[in-house]
Amino acid sequence: MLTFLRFLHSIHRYYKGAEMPQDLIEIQNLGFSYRQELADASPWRLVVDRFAIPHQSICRIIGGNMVGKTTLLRILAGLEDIPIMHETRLSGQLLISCNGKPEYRQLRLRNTFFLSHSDRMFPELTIWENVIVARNCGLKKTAREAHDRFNHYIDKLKILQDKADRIRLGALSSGGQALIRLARAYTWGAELIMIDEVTAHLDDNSAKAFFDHLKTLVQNGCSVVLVSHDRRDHELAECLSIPGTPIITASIVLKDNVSCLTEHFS
Amino acid sequence: MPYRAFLLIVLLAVLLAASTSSPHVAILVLSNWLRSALPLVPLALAAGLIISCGQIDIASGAAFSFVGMILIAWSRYSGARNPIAIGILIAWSAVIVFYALMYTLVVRARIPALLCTLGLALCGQSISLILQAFINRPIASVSPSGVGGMTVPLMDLGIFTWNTTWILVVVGIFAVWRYASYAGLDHIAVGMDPVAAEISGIKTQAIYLRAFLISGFLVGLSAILFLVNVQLGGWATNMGWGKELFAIAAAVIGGCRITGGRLHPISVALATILVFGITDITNSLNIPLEFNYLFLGAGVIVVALIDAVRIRPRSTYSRKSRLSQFQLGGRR
Repeated sequence: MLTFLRFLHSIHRYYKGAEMPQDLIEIQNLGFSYRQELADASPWRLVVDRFAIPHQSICRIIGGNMVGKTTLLRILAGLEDIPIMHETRLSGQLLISCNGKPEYRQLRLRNTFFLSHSDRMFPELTIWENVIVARNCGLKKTAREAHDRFNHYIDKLKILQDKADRIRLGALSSGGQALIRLARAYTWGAELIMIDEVTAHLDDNSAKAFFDHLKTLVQNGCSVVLVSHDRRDHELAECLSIPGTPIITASIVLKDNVSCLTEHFS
Repeated sequence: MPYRAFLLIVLLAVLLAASTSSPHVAILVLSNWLRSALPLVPLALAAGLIISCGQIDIASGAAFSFVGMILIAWSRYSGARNPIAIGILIAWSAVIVFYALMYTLVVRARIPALLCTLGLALCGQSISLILQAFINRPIASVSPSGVGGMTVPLMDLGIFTWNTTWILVVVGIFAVWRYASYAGLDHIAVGMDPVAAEISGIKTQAIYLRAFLISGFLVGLSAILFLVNVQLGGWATNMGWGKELFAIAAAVIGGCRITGGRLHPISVALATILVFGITDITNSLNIPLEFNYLFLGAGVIVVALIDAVRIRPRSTYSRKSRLSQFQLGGRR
């Protein structure tokens, strides 16, 4: 009965949502706690009353260590279980309306890349194979189109030219692998790119090149969510904006074991 | 050509040369030898397919057995009333369902693959024994033929006598799938690191399901080819018991890494023939049967050792990607 009511509620919200201004992603009433902590008397919780990312926008998430910034990105990327009821909208369409992992896993956000310093790729595959294997995250493209975009990316970096289909990813340094993470997003294109401390391994020139590529993606309509402790990244993120692009700063504050997210436009 | 395939071809050539030069190790009729070896290729490919996506299957031997038993039971009890094609369909469906159950338990219920397939292997053996008891029940209208009535008439199974054609087609399809398709790349990516595969947007559950279902199909094919070409219609309840170890050994020698992430279908096929040949030669040399598995075991250990030594340092370049050759017209 409860499930049926939730279903009716989701239909109601769906049609109501069709009249609302369409954000790329909108989260309402999200509460999250790690499963093993649920048994505790006062587990750590991440609470988001409302968090919206418009189309073609730049969002910086700031906050101290262990407040839940990476957790929020992992939730958006569909890599965490959601034990507490919440709602998420993607392009105005209601995606998730009940608790539990299976629903979320099936409804993983499409056209989204999550670039994290801690995520894993395939060191034994070549660079090009690592790029091509991520095709399901991005927009539909033919292999030829993807190859051309990848070549464009590589040519601008002036590294790895003519070697991307021969060098294994494991042969690259951490900085090189960070550039390949962005290459996957750049090659396939995406509506949303979430970046979690990826540029920590990059020198100034490579970081600038990284953000130059990111700017190209923003110009093509992509939204960016950036988590970084590095002041340099926040300065470079300012340069990402093009006229009409909203820049959102969301801060997560931890108080009494509850992390709350608040966002404000600038 | 991959290093492993080249090595296996050299070893096979040495084996054949030895067989022609020495009367003691003569593989007397090459066609007969191949006729016996080839039906085991799909079984090894099935093992390789599951190993390469990071799982393990030790129930293939039991499944192999009950495919034949179902056919025998069908043949015995339907007689000439129903065509054997329906029996083949039932047996093939049964083994695919068996592997679908294996997928459900291993992937969805997250039971450790080794324990789960061990349990299913015992269940599969029990199915064969139940079918044997069922077949051996006296029936007034049907007179048993062969040993305990465990034979199936071959006249309707002519298509399965094209042993070599079946194997060439299966290995060819596998090679194209592995080296020239996105699906093959996704498969080994899941075997290398399922978490990384999920981050990369690969539907890991679908990859596992596909691997298990195709393995079921291959085990069914292997059993039917073995029944027709090697056993000439005869079957025993324990025909496949122990063959899962042969299949895993052939897959590992053929280049599959036991932790997943590597699959070379052509090498697996060559390794199956080589392992079968070595077993055959030890028989020809009158080496006691017990030593067969000693050779096989030593071979697996040597291959594992070679794999461990050949781990590449960070600075080495890999060979050119075969995928890009097929899809993008070679190097830029």
